[in-house]
Amino acid sequence: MFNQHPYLTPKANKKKWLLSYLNELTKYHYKHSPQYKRILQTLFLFSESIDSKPFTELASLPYIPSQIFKELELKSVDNDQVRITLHSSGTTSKNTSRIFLDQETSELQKTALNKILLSLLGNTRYPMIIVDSLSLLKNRATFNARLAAILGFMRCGFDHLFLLDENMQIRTSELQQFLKRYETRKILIFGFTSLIWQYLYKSPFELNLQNGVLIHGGGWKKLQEQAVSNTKFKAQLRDRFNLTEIYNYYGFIEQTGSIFLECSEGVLHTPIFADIIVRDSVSLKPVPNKKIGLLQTLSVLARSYPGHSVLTEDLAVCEGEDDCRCGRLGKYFTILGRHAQAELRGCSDTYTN
Amino acid sequence: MLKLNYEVVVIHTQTKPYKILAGFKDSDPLELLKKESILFPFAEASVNFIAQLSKNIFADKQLRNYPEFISLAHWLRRAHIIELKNEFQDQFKDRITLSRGLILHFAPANVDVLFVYSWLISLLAGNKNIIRISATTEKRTGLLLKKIRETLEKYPIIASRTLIITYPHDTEITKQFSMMCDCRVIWGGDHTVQTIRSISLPPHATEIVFPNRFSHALLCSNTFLTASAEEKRVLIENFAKDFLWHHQATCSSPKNVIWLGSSDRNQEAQTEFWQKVNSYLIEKNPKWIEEIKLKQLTLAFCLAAHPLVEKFTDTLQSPIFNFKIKHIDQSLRYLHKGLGIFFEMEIRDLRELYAILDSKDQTIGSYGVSQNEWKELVTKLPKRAIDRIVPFGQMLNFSPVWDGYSLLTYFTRELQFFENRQSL
Repeated sequence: MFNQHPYLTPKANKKKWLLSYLNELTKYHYKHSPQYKRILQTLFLFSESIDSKPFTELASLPYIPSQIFKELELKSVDNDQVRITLHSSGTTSKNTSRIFLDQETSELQKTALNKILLSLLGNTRYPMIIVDSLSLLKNRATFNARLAAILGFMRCGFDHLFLLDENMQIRTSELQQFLKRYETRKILIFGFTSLIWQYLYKSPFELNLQNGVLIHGGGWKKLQEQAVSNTKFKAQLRDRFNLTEIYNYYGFIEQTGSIFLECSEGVLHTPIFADIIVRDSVSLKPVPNKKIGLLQTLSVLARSYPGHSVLTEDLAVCEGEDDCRCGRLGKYFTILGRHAQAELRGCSDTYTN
Repeated sequence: MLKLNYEVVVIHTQTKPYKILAGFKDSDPLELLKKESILFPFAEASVNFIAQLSKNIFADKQLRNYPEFISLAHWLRRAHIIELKNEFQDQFKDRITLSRGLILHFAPANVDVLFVYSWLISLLAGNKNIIRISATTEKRTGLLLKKIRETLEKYPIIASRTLIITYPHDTEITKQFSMMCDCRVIWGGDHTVQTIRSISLPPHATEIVFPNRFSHALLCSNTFLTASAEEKRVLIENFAKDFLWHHQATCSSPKNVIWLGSSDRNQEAQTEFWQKVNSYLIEKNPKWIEEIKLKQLTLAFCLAAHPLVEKFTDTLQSPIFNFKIKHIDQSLRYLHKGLGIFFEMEIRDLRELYAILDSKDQTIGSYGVSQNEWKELVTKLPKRAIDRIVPFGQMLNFSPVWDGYSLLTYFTRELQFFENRQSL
């Protein structure tokens, strides 16, 4: 699976490659997750004899809405095989997604992420700053999206510095030592977009991070509320810290590992392990490139849970395929934010509001 | 003279604050409320106030945009209130009915107008009222509250007997209010009812509860198939009215459609009916579909995994989703949250409903079944089920008889009075 470069497979080959994995995964989950099987039988009219006819188009593969992981515990392995349960960020109340990873899936995710990042960083590891607090690591009970992302990205660096203390204040003396130690080297900086803005950008410290490469993700919701766009984010960090290499990424716990990394052209790229389909938000039919729609994401890594084909709540535009000026092959796209949905209140919860 | 409040005021009880959304502004509004006398059923001031509120809602351009407020204003108009008054007086002719005292209402979070019905029926009965509503940021609820405040301003008699408040879930505050009241009304989900019920009331106080309910639509296939095009058009429009409001999520919104007839006729009717419903939606309310699509999809996937669901008869592209079922249980009722999804069942004989209907079932929207057939059926129901049977288009209409309670009766008490030829 990992023999190929993440961004150098032309579309015909990529489609063939993905179809072989995704058809196999669909079959696998059909056989191993009773709830997934019922869903496919009911909604996609799958029969018992699933082996007969593989799909020949990626868009024909069945998908499940990402929110379903909040409602059902979908997994394709026995309980004793589950090594990690990922929770969507926030608390562990009933309204979070739960993703069940076994050893194999967890390894696949780590390897894929590594491949993607090292292709950006030129196959070298760098000293690394994590814009987060070490106390997050100490509390393993809340194994959420943020912690999972940090642990995954940490493998691409060494001599990790957790920038913030337990009060989310910058550990200035440690940072000074770190910057001095690696004065002449490139350093990798990683963190959640909103935390970088709030705790690094808004901190009073004068810093020169011109050797830094910043990779950040986790969504723009909080920054949109403050009217901070990706362009503004980049410009402000450049002006403030001389930080010029900044890459956003798009990822979510339903498909950890196969993240979509931003290139120098400012668009998100699908690696070989993943693909996207943009669908009309009402008819759910695939829309042509350049048209807005709901984003469906495919990933070959989801083995212990049926999350290899997921319809997200995000609106996206596929900008093109195999012809980005950055040179990467594969589809490239932009995210336009959450699809606005009706606020639903059933006949209940007068007392919980 | 006390001044009426126009703004939201935060009042601290001994320790915990609550917000007054409408009523008198006073350093101790609860003391004031306690001191005020009760009114008589259908007191002139109450009727006038309600009629004025109706006029004020109709006159407001913004409020008129919301069909549920139009319905409310229509219900509150003077002619209708006088009708209720006459019915009430007929019912209690030659008897003496008095109000209960102070009624504490817990309004539901999902239907923003229901608290007004609950409050005003209790007011018509002559009671003083405390109404707790959920904290909301919804614009329309704000608009309605503003209108209520403006109307109360002209009716100090009513204002001093009314307190519309909000506070976050808090046992202590609920306890304090509960210990003051003569009757407590709980609208809300099962969980809310259970939670509030566990908080004590004064020994003499009564309680009315409205837990989660489920509702069906029932159609006679033959009647539908033989109806004129115009009759069908009206039927679809009425059905849409029943399920479109509140995203089909209220207790009275139809969620299960029962077809009465032979399987051939049922199938024929279903095809035509849903095709017409889908076309109606696409033509009249495409925004509704877009607003709910993702949540609808998630719910559909959830239901598809349920063992009682037999068959999905649409594609994911269609606006409305139908799931065929042969049996319905509590978990299916509980899982169904509306959102343009319908269960579908078929029966050949109305008596098959005995096995289907349950205490959770509230309303049946009926088409093609006569009143006599229903009367015959409901008097033989083997267990407690069904509180309303109404035509299509009226499933969400409010009525002073709700969930089996005649509210005006429950909100009043009858004085036993010995009429002796001589004297007492």
